[in-house]
Amino acid sequence: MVPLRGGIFRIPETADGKPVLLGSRCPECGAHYFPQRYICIACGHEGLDQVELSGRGKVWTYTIAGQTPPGSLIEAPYALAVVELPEKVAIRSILTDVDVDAVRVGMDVEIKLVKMKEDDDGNDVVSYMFRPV
Amino acid sequence: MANDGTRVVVLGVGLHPFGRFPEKSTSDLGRTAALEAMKDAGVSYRDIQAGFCGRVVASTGVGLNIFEELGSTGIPVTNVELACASSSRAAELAATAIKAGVYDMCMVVGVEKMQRGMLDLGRSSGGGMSFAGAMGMALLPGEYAMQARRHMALYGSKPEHFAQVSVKSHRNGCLNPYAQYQVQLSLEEVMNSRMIADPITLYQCCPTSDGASAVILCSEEAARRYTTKPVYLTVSMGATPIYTPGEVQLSEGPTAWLARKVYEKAGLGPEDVDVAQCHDAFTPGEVLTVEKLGFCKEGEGGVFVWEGNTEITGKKPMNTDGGLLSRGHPMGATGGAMITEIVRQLRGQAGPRQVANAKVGMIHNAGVGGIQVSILTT
Repeated sequence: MVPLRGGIFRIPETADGKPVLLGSRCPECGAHYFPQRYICIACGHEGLDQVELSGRGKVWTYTIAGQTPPGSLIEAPYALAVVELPEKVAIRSILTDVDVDAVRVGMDVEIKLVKMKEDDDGNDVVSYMFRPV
Repeated sequence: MANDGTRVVVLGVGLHPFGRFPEKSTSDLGRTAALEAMKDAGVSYRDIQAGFCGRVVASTGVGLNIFEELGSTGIPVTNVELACASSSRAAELAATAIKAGVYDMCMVVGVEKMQRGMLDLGRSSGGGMSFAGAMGMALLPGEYAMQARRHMALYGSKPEHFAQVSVKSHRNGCLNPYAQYQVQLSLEEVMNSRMIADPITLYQCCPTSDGASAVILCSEEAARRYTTKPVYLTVSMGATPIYTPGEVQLSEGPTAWLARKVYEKAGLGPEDVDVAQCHDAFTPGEVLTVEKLGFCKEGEGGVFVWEGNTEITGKKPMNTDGGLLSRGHPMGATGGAMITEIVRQLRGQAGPRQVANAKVGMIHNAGVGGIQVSILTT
């Protein structure tokens, strides 16, 4: 398996495992970020720690897209959400394994590994999505 | 540009109609708007001491080509880019230079020629698909839709509240000969059009457009030679998002915070605003902005719009020229078009769109990642 984009999540050992989002934590004030950054915007501290972020959160808001943007690997209609993690980090994610009419603000969701395509060498190119708990 | 000392006058405004003009170049569009603005101001090109051009996708050098169309007087010309707020920011830069005494008179041209269809935001700087693009997350109507859905969940606003913005904007667009869409739409037509990003349907999305705007700014002293009833660009300020620890946010910038700063600099408040322009690229833009500019309480924007308060005859007329939704949105030209409409309103030249006794106008223009808020006064 290869990630659709490197450096933002860790691929699990097996295809039925869960990916882990890679974020930053400020050693000075404790603020968390995703994706990773160098300077803490809360306190200005330089050099943040790399941390693993929670794989569960709540839908902070969402929309159901009726049209696929140019070049996207996703089929419409699909649910696009902002997921709020317990670390108070907002993650933009597609919601999967869900009836789009059933999506609600506040819904509990968890991360899931998703195969997006195969690359030229036949490797699975994977990414993360969230699904209802 | 704060309101301290020398005041800056908007001496002339002009537009090239917004729409689709495949046979015209950006220089054709820009020249038309500039000539209209110079005629409106009563100045010649030799009076312009510096040029600024707001543009987004238009190619390198576009501003220099437009000003070269007008003459070859050796003035400095600068291209300015702040996505959909490019010419608003360019106007602030020009006004600041005038206040600093560098120039007496500047012209800001905004221009764009755009492709049909949804903006392709999914490209990375290398040209390939970005992660967000590949994942279907680079979706501009989706950003507005998610703000709308949050508003609906928190405050109970309804899909029809958002749709009503488009009904009103298109009614106003019918009164504007420069508008891209001069066609009235019913609430049912808006709500039943194709779903783009729930709750935003197709007719709640602004079109892509070709068009140009031009604004001539000058010092108060220079303006005395041309007019006895000047309209002032009293305050114009910009901002980018502010991080609030522990708070999930979703916006193009701190509009409420910036509006408070602008009101303070102008010595005015929301109650003083007679007519306003806001960035209704998608209908939630107006519902959210009426709250952030202080025209109604937080959470009440949907009902405020639904009850007709932003109609031309309402308490706070918004987007009297049809807004981005109906007038059109050639990105680089939009800020100048917003200034143009407010100037015409404050001069009493808005014809069938005229708001009675308009003395104070406000503008909210949002680019991806940055905003501009301005107040104009008589």
